Amino acid sequence: MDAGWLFLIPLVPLCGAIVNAAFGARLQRRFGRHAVSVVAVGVVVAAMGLGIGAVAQLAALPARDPALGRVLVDRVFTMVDVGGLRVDFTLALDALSAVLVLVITVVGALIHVYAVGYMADEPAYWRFFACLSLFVFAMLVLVLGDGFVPLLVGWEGVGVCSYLLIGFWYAEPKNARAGMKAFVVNRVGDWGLFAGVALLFWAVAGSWSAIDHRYYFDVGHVQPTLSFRALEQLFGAPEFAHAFAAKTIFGAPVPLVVSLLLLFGACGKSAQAPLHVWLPDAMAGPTPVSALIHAATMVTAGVYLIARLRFLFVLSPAALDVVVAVGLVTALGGAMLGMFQYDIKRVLAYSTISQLGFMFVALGVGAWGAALFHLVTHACFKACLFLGSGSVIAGMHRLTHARHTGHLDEGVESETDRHAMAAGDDEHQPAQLDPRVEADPTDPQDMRNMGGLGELMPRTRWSYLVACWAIAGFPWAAGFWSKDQILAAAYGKSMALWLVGVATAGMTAFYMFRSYYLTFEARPATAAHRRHVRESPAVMTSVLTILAVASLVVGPLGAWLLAHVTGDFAAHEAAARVTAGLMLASVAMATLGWAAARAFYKDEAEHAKLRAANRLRYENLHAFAFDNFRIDELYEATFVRGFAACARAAAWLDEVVVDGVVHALAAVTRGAAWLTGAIDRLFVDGAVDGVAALVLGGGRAARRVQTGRVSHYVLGMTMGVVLLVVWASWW
Amino acid sequence: MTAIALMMTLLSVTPSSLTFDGAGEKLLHVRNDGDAAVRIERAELAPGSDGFALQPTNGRVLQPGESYELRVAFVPDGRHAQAFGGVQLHAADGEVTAVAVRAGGSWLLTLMIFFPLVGAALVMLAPRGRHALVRAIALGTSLVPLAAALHAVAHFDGAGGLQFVQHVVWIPAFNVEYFVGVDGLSILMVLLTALISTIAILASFGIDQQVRGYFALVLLLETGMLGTFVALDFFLFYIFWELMLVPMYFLIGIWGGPRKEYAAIKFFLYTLVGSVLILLAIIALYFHAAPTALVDGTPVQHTFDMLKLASNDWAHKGLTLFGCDFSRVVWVAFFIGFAIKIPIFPLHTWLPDAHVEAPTAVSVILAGVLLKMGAYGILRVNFAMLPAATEWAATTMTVLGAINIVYGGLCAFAQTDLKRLVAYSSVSHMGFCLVGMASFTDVGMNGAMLQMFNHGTITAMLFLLVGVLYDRAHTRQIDRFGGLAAAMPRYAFVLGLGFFASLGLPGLSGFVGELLVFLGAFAAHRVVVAIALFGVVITAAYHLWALQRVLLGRWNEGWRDRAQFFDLTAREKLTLAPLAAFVIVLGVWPMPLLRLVGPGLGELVRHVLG
Amino acid sequence: MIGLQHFLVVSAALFALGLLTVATRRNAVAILMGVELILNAAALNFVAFAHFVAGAVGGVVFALFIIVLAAAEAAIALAIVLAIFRHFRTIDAHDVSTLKE
Repeated sequence: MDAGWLFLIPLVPLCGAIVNAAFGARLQRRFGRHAVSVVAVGVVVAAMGLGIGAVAQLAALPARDPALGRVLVDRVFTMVDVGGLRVDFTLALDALSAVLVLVITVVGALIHVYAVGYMADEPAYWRFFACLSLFVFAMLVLVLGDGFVPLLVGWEGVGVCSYLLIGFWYAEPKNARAGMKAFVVNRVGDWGLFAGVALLFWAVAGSWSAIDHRYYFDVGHVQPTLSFRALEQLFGAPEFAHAFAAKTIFGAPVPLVVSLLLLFGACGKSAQAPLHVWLPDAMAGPTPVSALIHAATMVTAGVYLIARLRFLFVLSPAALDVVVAVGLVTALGGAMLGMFQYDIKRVLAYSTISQLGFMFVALGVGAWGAALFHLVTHACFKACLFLGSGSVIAGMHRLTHARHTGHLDEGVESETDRHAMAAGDDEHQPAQLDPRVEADPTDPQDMRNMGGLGELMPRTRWSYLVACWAIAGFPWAAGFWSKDQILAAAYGKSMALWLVGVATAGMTAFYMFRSYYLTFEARPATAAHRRHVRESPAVMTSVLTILAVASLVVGPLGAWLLAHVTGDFAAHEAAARVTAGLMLASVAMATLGWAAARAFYKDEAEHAKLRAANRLRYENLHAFAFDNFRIDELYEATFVRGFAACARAAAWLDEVVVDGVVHALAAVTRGAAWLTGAIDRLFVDGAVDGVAALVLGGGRAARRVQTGRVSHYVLGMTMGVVLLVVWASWW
Repeated sequence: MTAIALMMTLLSVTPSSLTFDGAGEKLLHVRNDGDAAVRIERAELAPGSDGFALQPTNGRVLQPGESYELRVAFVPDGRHAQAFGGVQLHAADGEVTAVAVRAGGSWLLTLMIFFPLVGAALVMLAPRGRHALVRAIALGTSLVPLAAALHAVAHFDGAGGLQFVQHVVWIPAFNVEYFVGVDGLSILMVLLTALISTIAILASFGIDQQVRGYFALVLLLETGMLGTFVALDFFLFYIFWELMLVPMYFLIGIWGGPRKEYAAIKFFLYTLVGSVLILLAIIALYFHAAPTALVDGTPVQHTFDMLKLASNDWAHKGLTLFGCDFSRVVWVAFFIGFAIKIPIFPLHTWLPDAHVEAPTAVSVILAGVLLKMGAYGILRVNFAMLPAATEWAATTMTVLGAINIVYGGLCAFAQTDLKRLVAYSSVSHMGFCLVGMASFTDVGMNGAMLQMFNHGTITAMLFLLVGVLYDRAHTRQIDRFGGLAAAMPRYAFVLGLGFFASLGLPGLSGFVGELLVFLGAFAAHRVVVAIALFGVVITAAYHLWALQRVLLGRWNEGWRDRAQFFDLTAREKLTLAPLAAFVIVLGVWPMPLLRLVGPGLGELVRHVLG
Repeated sequence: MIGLQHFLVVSAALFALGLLTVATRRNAVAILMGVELILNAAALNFVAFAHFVAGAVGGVVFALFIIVLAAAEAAIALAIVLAIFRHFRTIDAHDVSTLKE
């Protein structure tokens, strides 16, 4: 159904971005930062309103052909129309996009509000919000775009915004490098994406002969297209799907190859193994960025892509198995790595990677609805967790800043403090969690510098706790519903799969509660903490509260909504019944994880005792796992150094060999020129000079007759006369 | 002997040439001015006289003093706004009398080509030392071709074939004509040239040595470039082609950097070697062309007319050269000549040196326009005239293009000089053009043409930006910079825009061409394109790394005076703005360009494959 | 009897001796003496033919011519020798060789 106003949904944030980029600095100077806030938050809220309106309109459409589903379409303009290809910039809202639009705009709006508080002290306030609005625009284009071209515009757009926002504080080289790493790793994945798109484009309309390796169009004149709706229609016809599944390229089935290539692209964006290395480093960006981009939205683009192209993936069971494998490895790996981190944001980063792995597993076993559901719930509680950590970091920042500048002793207020100061025990010592790794006392993100913040930041603490409850999958909260659906679907596929999934869920509970206990409990807050760490302003904590409530509520609410709005979406879904037994098992596992975390980390004193009793042997894995299984080093040593070496080799080749040939030719020419010149000088000119010399010499010789003596002349005359006479007489 | 002299047919035709202003009919009066009766075998239109009709065409005998009438009608078929042709009267003794007929004939292109020459002359006549006057004259002069180009683009009909044509006989003794016109292949290039020339002149306001000579040379260069793109007679084409070399040599050699003499002579000799090969190939085609007629109808045995040469079927003439198929040898000769310009590995080593040593504006022209001439030449000559040989060389071209993409990218990564990095990125981007051209699909070909235009604007922007930095810092070594985004925020934004456009970010213009090229070429060359796709990663890597080292990170403490890095001036913004606008708008809406070139390129593809 | 040939021989011998003197002697005056000898040899020849050939009175007349010529020529030549002496301070013919190349 035509809805010509859909383009407004991404356009409004774009306008906000342009206004803030062009005039933000001026607005901020004249009217204060709230001028910028109003613009930024306003446009996101407007987009949210428009999005909700669109979804309502979509839901009101009568249900139609289950293969097509209900959809609102807006053909904005034609981008390309040549020969065999027509690409329209079309926005389409169907069930899948609707869910994502809601996530992006609602969670996005909340995070924008939070960022108003979080970034309050930032001088480049306007630049932050300009980039953030631009990001919302790009993400909306990504999910609303009907076709690979709008998708790619959004895909790369979010990549650029991610780059700009990770490196927001670009004066620090580490941040700039992190931004570049994110972009380049995404680009590596994009190689697969582009190749997959190109292959899909041509494979739809024809195939390559295995004999002469040439491309031939199929009889039937299917027009190759890049539009998702057109592709869905094509693949909806069973004969076409079968014919497509039978095509091969280099002996491998085309659907498999295309799916794997697109999966590679999705891995890049969604931080799945082996392209996950950028996400932990991306935590260098401001926390709202981590929440919005690297938890709720951008990293879900890969999930979205595969869900969007499910009609392709179902044609290749092998590809789906690969998806499951990738998701599983990532989920497990991410969970294991999360258990050992000290930086609170890194814990959350690995948690994100792990949860995305769960989503990929869901996609791979055919539980499309479950994957989407988990995406939504994950957005809620992960955003809450990140924002909560942001609140903690903001509070800790005051402490570490004071420590850094040596003003730790300021603000001594109470008697208790004075005593503590005198006794010398207000100085916070980093928790001795692992004597092998040094803690940096000025790092506001290091959990070893925290502890006991629960009493100082109650609202943050409770929302964080609720979110941990949700992510661990305890009853009633969001994770419970979505994760269990995934696990049930996995169980339907294979028992081993389910076991690994449940184990990962247990690890999730463990590391999340570990981070909770280390941050908010572990020990009573020291005086230094009490002096400098405060609860965050209401603008931030209210968002936390809303998200915490959402994490509780979105479970059942979402299940109901999904069934209604996306009923047609789940039409392909493998029916999964969450049996009581499975539910119990996963809750039990979660409880186990929580209990372990509580035992090890709730109380610092207990922790020290356990360490002394050598009960914490699992931490031997620490050195290896701490550093991302040393994958970063591996990539650095192989790809990065290899690439740099190739580049240097190419440059050397260019300067010495290729240019060397040119210079050699030039030298040969110069030599030939010298030779020719020599020949010219010696022989050609020599001949000329020789003649002249001959003439001169002859003349010199002949001149000697002229002696100037009269007697000689007389003799000459006489001889002449005699000769004449002789000659005359003979003649 | 008298008898032989009188055998010459003396037919006079009034008027001596016909000009139509629209559809209509005109009369030609043919009179026998000789003493003997003349038998006219037939009257006919010369080959290539589309749109004209002639009556009567049968022969007759003309007594001395007798005359008769021929009716010539012009029926515009809507396809051609201008039509040129000739009426030929074949006499019994083999003598042919020819009369030119024409309809329309546009002076726009001639004005556009030669106005800069006038400007150059004016510049040289300006008094010494009046730099502002010279700059004003140069800028004003360059605006005229720009206006003409914009007019041409606005009134160009993509499906209309050759437009704004001017076609007259120039040197009858050598069958040389003055034949200019624009079609789908050249319209974008004309616009690009005019735009880049104006911007380059604006960017040259910083030159303060021998200012008159500089601007005169730039204007001369502009004439050469515009002429090359619109010339459709090979002789004329070659003249303009060569005309570009000399000003470039002097511009690099006099106003260039430390190694300017080396770079200038290297550029000049390298290109000249290519030009010699092109000349030989032109002559080969000239002598083996099928007999046809000049524009005024005079029948000739050989022709330089590029369109007529394209209608010869070279592959099936049974000719050989050095033991190989004639059309392939000639194709290779042309290809090498144009490949040096593009430049294609391994004939590219003149480019880094020429770019680095040339002054900013000259680099802009070199990268923005001159590189496209090679690609244009391949389309106009290799593709249009020698289609069979082009099909034969398709795989080679694709492989060379892929090598360009990957190798150029790798070399760029290893550079320490920012300008050299951008130069190698140009090598990489032109590889996309080649891959697109060799794909023989509408999609790929359009992608290549888009890439030619977009790369022109993007790379011009990049060189201008590098020039800005060099003006501030007098160095281009990347390692000497750092943290400039804090000091020059607007510059940082534009540089970021330029770099992201150059790496092909979707949403900016660099992407559309690349996407179409990949899509188009993938069908025929899967593996090669898959390898070329790695260029996507390599390009991102070196661009971002350069961006990071220059703009981000900490301020390099080697610079004591932060104030020397002031942000963009108004003039610099003026040069960058139009390019940035093109980059952003064409990224999401390339349709206007595609409407201009699509039909023409589609025809070219069919011509090659058919 | 003494015939014409005897006179011719004598005059030839005189001529040869005069020529030899001109060609060989270094002293300019001696060269002039040689010139006189040549002239007198020619005069003798004329007179001999005038006597032995009937009616050849011209020979005697010519001999008188020669005597006058010789005297004039000797005067001029000696004047030249004087001039040479004034310029070159020598009358050695071998030393006056400025025409040498």
